[in-house]
Amino acid sequence: MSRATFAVVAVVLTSALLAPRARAEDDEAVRVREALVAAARQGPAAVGKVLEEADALVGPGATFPGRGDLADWLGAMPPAVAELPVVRLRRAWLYVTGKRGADAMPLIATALETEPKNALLRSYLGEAKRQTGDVAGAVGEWVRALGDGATDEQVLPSVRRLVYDLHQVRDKDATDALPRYATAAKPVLDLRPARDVAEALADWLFYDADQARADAARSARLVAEGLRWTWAAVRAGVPEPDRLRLARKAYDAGMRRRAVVSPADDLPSAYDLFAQAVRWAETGTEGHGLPEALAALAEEAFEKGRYVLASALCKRRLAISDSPTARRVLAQLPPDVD
Amino acid sequence: MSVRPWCVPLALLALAAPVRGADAPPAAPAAPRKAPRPPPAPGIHWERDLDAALRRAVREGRPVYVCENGRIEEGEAGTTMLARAVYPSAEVGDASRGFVCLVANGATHATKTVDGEEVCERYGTGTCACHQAVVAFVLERFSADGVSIVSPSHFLLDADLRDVYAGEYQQSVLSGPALDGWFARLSPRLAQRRVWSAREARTDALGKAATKDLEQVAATWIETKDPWAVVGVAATLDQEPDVARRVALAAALGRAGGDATPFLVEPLFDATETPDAEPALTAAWCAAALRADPDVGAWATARALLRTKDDASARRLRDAADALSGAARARVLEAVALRSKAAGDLDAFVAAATEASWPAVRVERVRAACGRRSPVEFGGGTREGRRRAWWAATAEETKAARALALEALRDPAEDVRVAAAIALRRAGDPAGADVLARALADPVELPEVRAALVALTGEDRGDSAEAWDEVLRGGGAR
Ligand SMILES: [Zn+2]
Repeated sequence: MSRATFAVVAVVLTSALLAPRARAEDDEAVRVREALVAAARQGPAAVGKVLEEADALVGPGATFPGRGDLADWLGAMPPAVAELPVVRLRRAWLYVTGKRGADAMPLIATALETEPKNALLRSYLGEAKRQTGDVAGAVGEWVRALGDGATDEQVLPSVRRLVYDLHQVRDKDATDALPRYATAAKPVLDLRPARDVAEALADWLFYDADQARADAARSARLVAEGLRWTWAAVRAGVPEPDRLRLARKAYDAGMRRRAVVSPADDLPSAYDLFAQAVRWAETGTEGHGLPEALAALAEEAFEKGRYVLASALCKRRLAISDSPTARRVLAQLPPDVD
Repeated sequence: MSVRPWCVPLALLALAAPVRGADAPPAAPAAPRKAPRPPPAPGIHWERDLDAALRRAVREGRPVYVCENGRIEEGEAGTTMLARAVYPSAEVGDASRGFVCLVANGATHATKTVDGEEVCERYGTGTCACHQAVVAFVLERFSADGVSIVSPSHFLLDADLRDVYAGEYQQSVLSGPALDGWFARLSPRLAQRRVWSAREARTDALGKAATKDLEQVAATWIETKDPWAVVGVAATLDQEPDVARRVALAAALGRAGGDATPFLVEPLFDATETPDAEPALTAAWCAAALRADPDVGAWATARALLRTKDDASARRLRDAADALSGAARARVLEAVALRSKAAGDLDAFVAAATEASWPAVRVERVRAACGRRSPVEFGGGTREGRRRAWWAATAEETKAARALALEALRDPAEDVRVAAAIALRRAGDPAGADVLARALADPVELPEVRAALVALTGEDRGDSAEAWDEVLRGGGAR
């Protein structure tokens, strides 16, 4: 940014800070205020419509710089307007989307007293708590919201932000436990799997594991958790455009899994990971999107005594190109296996 | 004629290789439309894109040569010498031509245009973006602590991107002959294509040698320890139509020890598929393989022994076991037991397998094939145990067994469900038809389901669920 531009921005920012919070109402704000008072006499539907129009008051150069400011202004309306549930709910939403969760919480709490099973309100409360830094509280509300029927869209965007933010500050986490980014949202993700989050968690955990190789115990812990999240990302229903990418991740995870000493019972096996790699890189032709996965799965199938499968995989791999691995497995198969 | 798909590349290679005695007339020289391309620069040709390079290595079956050269920026003597004198040399360049070559260096350099392509000026080929990406790759793959690596270092990956060589410091660089040796071992098919130009005089001499001298001429070349010798003999054998000459060349290959193994497996697989087509050649192949690599030789011998219709041939092949020990002996005796199904042969196999510490599942399947299934601890709690238990239980064809198999159709593991469905179908029960139909559309479960259905019906209806529908629903069995 050039010095001149910075000066202009600084002036704008300063004037915004010095101006009264609900700045002297401009013509548009006065119109909305009057419309709200009038609509309050007609009922919640009419108020809701005006509230939507009020959104136009927020933005650069408009009456209010942020959504929280609009919420403050609505809260200062006459009680006939401000105490309406539809207005309180709108203010809660404005505070949450304006990143002022603490201001939203009392409004949402009151609303939940009358509607304790309202999943949308519950998801707002989770987001509000997240904004105040109450991670456990947020996750608890999201779990409850999902139990009350919340949709993915009502919960997962907040979960993504939580996980991303925790990853940004992972240097502050204790090194003798899993990083918080990998554990905090687990109760929610167990209920509502999100492939993109699982994939990101696996990537981050493997990266951190590689960086921590000098600390074998920590590195092993990170790898194990990375394997669990990889499995969550690849186990089922991968959409077409993501298949080859996830096949490669399943394959890489399978290679990491092979190196795990004394694995926990809940870790996916190398066989399972390679099988998913073979499935998701399937091209439907004699070729294959990830030929090395054919060879790796052949080795695992051989170890399990699944010789027919091992043979088919070796032949398919060798039909693509030279493969010392496939050749070695082929030359160990029982004599009756074609 | 059925051509197994995995044989196709070899056939293509044969077409690509020059055929002796059938020189095509030279084509009339066409007027060049533009200036001829300059000859390629000597020395290693570095790749331009890491990911594309690795994919090409797998797709084409090429080894990957990775050279860590990061400390050249500091003027470190060994790294600098390698980059200035070794990598650009004609000897290393020629030997590296079949490899996918990657240099690792984190710096950004000036660029220049060579033959219309922008390249890193420091290394003369490839791009700075690529040699920078290789640094991260090397650290992830080879660093002990994840963040540092000895510079210079050298690594080799095979065509499945497995590590096969790692060395530190200047002395770890691979010479031309060392690269040739690795190329033959890791990419035998591509090596067979190159050998005609790499050793033109030698391969010509092999082609012209009289049949009675051929084994000796080939063996003499192999004894020189030239890394191309075994490649040249294998390539000549692959091209040779005359059985007597093939027998002589196979015998010579047997003298090459473990260097011959990569060139033996696929031809042996074919030769032992129909051992009676050329019995002399089959016997020569097996003898050569036993001499070069007892494990591979025993595998081939066992395949031929099980498939030959000629009892005398089978007896001769069986005699090979007497000179073998360990796993190699168990392999031959496994085929003897499967062929005869006699109690004594089974006992001999089980003793050899036990001595060689073979897994229980491999022993058990031979017992079952001989009609002597022993009570086996299947470990019902594990997935593998469940998978095998349904097979065993349904073979008893009791009501209780059927109930167990029906329950297994709802197992969380796909392979357990499929195993149960196959077992039920073998017992004449179509309850698992839907599981089998899904399995026929799955690249992992397909081969075993198809093999089981072929065994059941005696015909192969291919890999579409529709073609097998009647069988899945209970019809079509022999
Ligand atoms: Zn460069």
